[in-house]
Amino acid sequence: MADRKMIMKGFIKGILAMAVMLFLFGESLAQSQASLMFNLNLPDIALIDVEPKDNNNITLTVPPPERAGEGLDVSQVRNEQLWINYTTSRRSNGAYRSVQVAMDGTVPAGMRIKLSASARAAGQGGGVFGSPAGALTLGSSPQTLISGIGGCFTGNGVNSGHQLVFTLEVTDYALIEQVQDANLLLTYTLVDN
Amino acid sequence: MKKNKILSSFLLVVAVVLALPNCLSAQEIKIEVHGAPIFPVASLFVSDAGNDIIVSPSEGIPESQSNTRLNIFTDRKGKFEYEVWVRAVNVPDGVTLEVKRDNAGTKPNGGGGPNALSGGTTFLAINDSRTSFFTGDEERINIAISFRLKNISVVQPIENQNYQILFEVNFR
Repeated sequence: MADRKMIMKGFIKGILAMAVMLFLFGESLAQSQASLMFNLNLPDIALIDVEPKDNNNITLTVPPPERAGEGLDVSQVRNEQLWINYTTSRRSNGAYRSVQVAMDGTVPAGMRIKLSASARAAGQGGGVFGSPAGALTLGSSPQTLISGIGGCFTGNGVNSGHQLVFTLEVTDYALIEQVQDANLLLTYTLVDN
Repeated sequence: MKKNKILSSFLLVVAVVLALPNCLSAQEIKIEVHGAPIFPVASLFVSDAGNDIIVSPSEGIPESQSNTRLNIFTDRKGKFEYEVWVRAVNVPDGVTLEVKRDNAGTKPNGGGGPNALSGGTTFLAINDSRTSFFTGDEERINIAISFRLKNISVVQPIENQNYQILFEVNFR
């Protein structure tokens, strides 16, 4: 009797083992997988322009004094027509970028031109925008106008990006000559920090 | 006692040996993928300062043509139905990867109508979760599938993005 029970136990174990193996192997062979891999390499982008693109020449006109003895009043000499737009990319641990400005030409003697950029216009663009440096006295050497630019896009056109504010200051009346015109060319460059 | 133990062990071994051929001959279904997506490089550039990479976010960057094919083989006879699943790994944060089926492929021996496969003909966003792609009831080869990327932006780091797509098929 004990012998038969032993034999039966062995037989049942065998049946169970067979059933489990059939189930497991059946399940594993009924599924199949395949995979593919591909890469996407985003390009390094650095674009900058001044808007409005088709008309970004400005004129700063000094009004003459109204009465004898008065000095030149340049407090109202100001231009806010231009906007600077940029699109730039950045690697994860890569350098931030700055906008530098340099002037070609000679400012009339006794005067200086100052330039500042506003904070980025809200509601447009995305990413890590730069911070304005404050008012600069324009000169031939490149100066940082906006710094700390990461991967971002400001939005395109007037009222996007940073507004440029030009003002005029008198530094020395003794040097100011009667009639002067000056054509000045400003170059804006995106540079790695 | 010892004899009975030997006998019961022998019966167990015989049962396993008998089961093996049945296991090995269990009906199977296989999926193969050939090719990989190719996105037009020009789509990854910016047209004007101040713009992002994609001017029309809703359209994203589609492939100019399908470059990927699926093959599905089975040794099951008679009526059957299978389901294909898809999953994407390493999709960068903020990016949306989509896939769709462009046709029903053909039978391995040629021919085959469009109704053997069902579903998956409109773009489906895929991520790390297993997603049902389409179903079928016939072997099929050269099933054309295409991909689309959305929300690619200059805001994202410009590293090499490595995507992995996993396809899985099983009987329903």
